[in-house]
Amino acid sequence: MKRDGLFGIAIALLAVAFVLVPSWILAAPLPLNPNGLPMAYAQKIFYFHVAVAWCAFLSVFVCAGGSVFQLAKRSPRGDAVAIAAAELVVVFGLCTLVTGPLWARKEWGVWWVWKDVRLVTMLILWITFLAYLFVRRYGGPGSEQLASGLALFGAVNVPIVYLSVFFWRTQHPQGKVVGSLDPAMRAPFWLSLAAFSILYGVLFFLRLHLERQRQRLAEAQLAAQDAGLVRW
Amino acid sequence: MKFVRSVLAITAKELRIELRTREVVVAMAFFAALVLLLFAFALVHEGRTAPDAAAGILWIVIALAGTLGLSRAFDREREGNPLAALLLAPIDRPAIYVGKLLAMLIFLALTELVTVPLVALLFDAPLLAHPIQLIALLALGSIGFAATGSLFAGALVRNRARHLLLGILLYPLVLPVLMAGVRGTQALLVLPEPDLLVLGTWTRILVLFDVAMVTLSLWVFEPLVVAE
Amino acid sequence: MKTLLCLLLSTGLALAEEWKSADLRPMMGPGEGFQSTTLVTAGYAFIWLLVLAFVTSVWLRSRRIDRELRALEESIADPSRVER
Repeated sequence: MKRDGLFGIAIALLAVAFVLVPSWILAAPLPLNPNGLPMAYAQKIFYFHVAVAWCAFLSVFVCAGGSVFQLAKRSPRGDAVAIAAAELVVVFGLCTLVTGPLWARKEWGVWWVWKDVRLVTMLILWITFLAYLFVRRYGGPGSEQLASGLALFGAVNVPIVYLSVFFWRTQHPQGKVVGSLDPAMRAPFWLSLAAFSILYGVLFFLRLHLERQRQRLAEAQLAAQDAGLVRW
Repeated sequence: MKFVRSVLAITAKELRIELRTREVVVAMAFFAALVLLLFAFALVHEGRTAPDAAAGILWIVIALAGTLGLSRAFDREREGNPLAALLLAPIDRPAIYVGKLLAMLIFLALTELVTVPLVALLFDAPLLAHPIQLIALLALGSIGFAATGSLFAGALVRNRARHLLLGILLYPLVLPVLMAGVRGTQALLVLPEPDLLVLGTWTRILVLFDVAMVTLSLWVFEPLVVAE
Repeated sequence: MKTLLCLLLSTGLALAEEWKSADLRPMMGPGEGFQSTTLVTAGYAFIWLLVLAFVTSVWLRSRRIDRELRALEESIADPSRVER
């Protein structure tokens, strides 16, 4: 069955990534912090923090894209894409919001900085997509459109989050850190990014498949009811 | 020109209803005053509050009263379904949205007229020392709030769970606007002189959010509100 | 659309100019009392536990759909049965 095959691939990939990626990451050298000293070992969090954040942002755009199709064409496929991506924004967003403070505690001495625009906007983004799932769950008829509108507004937040690091001098490291990485850090960094992107893809298609099945089942139930094949 | 006339006609219609009933503005202002009193009970100790608290309180109260006003202003659209009639009228759909938005902005401005002096009084904040900057901040913040709010309140008109969902939909989306408003107002309250650099930055961010939100609202108003 | 982009850009540039001159705050000191290894392990474990929870939840929901599909098939085959 298609579903079992997808689950098999997912679990195999997870198993490989679980072992492979960390071993590369742990072997990479530690960069210097702004004071010129080598960063704490906790810097290793950077490799997967950036990767999960990337997945979360990617997912926001996937969700916004699906929402546009949902709003403009009432496309059920677009709707399925949007809801699958929204759930993954919540999953990867939570990963970002948890791994970030773990590193910050070591490097900055605090878990969270409320004045840091990037941290706060990421939190707002996460809450927006939590609200998206809430609306889908409790919104009743017509909640698809509402949720799509919410997703689009949420997606407007993302460029602002990303650019905020360049425009505001926040405590959060700047995006250009990636360009200035030590060559020995580069390979594991990109590998980690690739591994998490693949993981994202697999999870996304798993969830998308589920949503399409759910939509087809609902259609079949309605059709059977209309044809008088089933008594309810 | 036709667009402007349609917008003004809809705004005038909203204001006429409000003049006859006065329920939205009176309820908003009264509610805002009540919440302010609650904050005063909770936060003022021996005549003093935390130094930055007034800015946050002002914007929280505006958001809460604004949500109340949005709920009521759009609940009217359920009674006799005038929204459906408006949508049938031979005018641009975005004109309906802009007209509603302008009316909502006027309601918010009237509420702020009550709220700001009360905040200044209760929390001993020098809010009125720089009226032009404060008005600019309030106007920009209100536009961002009302733009998003009118869109989602309009989309929720036919929803059974609308009172529950309005807050859940609206607050995450207007949090950046409220945050910018709070930060700007805090910069304004710095003694002895307001921090104009920080104020300018947050004002620009508010402009950015306003433009983004109004543009997006104009785009999605039709598919979102004209559903079915 | 064009106006929006221009505004976005100009606002961005203006902000960049302003903040170059206004510094925010120095870096805080590094935290004590937390082993780096613990933090790294906790972060990594958290990600995988969450992913695992997500996959499990998808799998459970998928099984429920199978169950409902089977129920639908059965009630079509035997219309006297009342579903649910």
